[in-house]
Amino acid sequence: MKRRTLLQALPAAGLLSTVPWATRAQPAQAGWRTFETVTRLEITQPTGAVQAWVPLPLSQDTDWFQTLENSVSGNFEKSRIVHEPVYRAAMVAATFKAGEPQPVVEVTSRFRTRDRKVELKPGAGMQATPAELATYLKPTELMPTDGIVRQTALDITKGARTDVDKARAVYEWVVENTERNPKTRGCGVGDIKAMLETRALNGKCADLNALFVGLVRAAGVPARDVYGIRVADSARGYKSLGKAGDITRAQHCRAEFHAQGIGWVPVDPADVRKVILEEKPNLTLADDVVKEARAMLWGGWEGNWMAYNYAHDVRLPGSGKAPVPFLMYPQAENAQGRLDALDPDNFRYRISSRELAA
Amino acid sequence: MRRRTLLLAAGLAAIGGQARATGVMTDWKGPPAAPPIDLYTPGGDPFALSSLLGKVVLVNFWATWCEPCVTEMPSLQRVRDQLAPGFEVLGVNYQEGPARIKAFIDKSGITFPIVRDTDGAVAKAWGARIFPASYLVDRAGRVKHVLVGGADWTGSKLVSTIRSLL
Repeated sequence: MKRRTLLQALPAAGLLSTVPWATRAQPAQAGWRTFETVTRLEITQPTGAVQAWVPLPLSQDTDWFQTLENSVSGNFEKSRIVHEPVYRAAMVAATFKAGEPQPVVEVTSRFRTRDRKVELKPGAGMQATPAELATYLKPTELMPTDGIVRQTALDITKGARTDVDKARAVYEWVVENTERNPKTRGCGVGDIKAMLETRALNGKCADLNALFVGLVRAAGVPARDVYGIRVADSARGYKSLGKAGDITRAQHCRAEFHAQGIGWVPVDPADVRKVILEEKPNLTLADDVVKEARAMLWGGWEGNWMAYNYAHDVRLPGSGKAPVPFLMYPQAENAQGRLDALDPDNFRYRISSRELAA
Repeated sequence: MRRRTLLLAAGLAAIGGQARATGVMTDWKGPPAAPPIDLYTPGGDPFALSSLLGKVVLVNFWATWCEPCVTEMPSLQRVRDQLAPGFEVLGVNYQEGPARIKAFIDKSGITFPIVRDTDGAVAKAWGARIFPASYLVDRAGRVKHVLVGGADWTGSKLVSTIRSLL
């Protein structure tokens, strides 16, 4: 029987304290790969009291991803692991004394993951509770499911009968009608209503996959973004779909929809557009490498990526500021507000990954 | 006089896509009282919109990654210089760090006040989702007009709109 991950909220005080948190058994199974990531935040010019939040790997056990261990060190006054209440997004929340000249927090996470392929057959995917399904049909701040989103979803899925048919129609529509915009900051924001209203169907993963998720939800099918970060090169040879070593800027979100009778099905239309833009010059939907990616990313993901959470509109514990649209980057605040999480050189954070021997 | 510039490569604050600019401000339909802006400058000094009561203020939501925002900045500076001292521009940067903003200010020669909306709450309160978004506030602190998308602020229609409140 699997041991459950126990993520304890332990307070820590003093200089460079190290708090090891949970470990779990690692049964050897085919296809699983184990990785370690280290996220190190340094606030170089603190103003007043500083708080920081670092996303942790997925807190839910799945058949494709399991968190093994998290530990934290730093010169914080207090740190704790917090699970955001709606989506169970896990994060380290650290607070530093005012006057701490250079607040530092470092989080080490170990997890195992594997390639994922869900055949569209009864019971092939992970099942969801009714409460989960209800959650992943709801609108979010930037992902409404009425108005232009609903109308667009109905247009796209006209004639589609099953959940799979509807999701497939939206998948193909996103692949064919959007573009990856290399100038988009970070992974984008995912304001899908504005995208549709302005017909600006471009951006990065947090935009394009949010468009998929929002449209699928608006069509009445549960769907969710899965925020995470690439941790290894693609074993399938896609140079645009992997990153190892220094992964500071390798954040990537994927998506899932839930088909009745089948379960959660992974997809990633945004990465199809990434292949078109980055894999080779001048690629189009007609090129074989794109066709292969398009087929692979309908129902499958490569296991070279760490999942963080499914969360939207995340209120950072202890913060008086507005919620973040999603928690995929380290966050920090000082007396003058929130630091720019998309500017790791000035915010000063580094994320590294390495694969551990089985 | 130069005609308005249509900024077709416009960006959206929240997403980075296309916005069509008309170069003409439309009447503000929301609540008349300007939502408060109490933020910090990139240098760390507090700055409040209320300190500009008695002036006509153009509140401009922008970001350095937003191409039309950057493109329209010189014309914002020019119209501000042209119509001062009864007119001021207040730039509200969306969620960027002070180093990035300072580098932009140094490079572009902007002298009107800039403040940092670090969590986007002020942009949300003003309803600014597509960038640039500019709101013209009269001397009594009431929002009168809005323009979403980039523009040449030295264009005759826009200058006339501002002058009508002076």
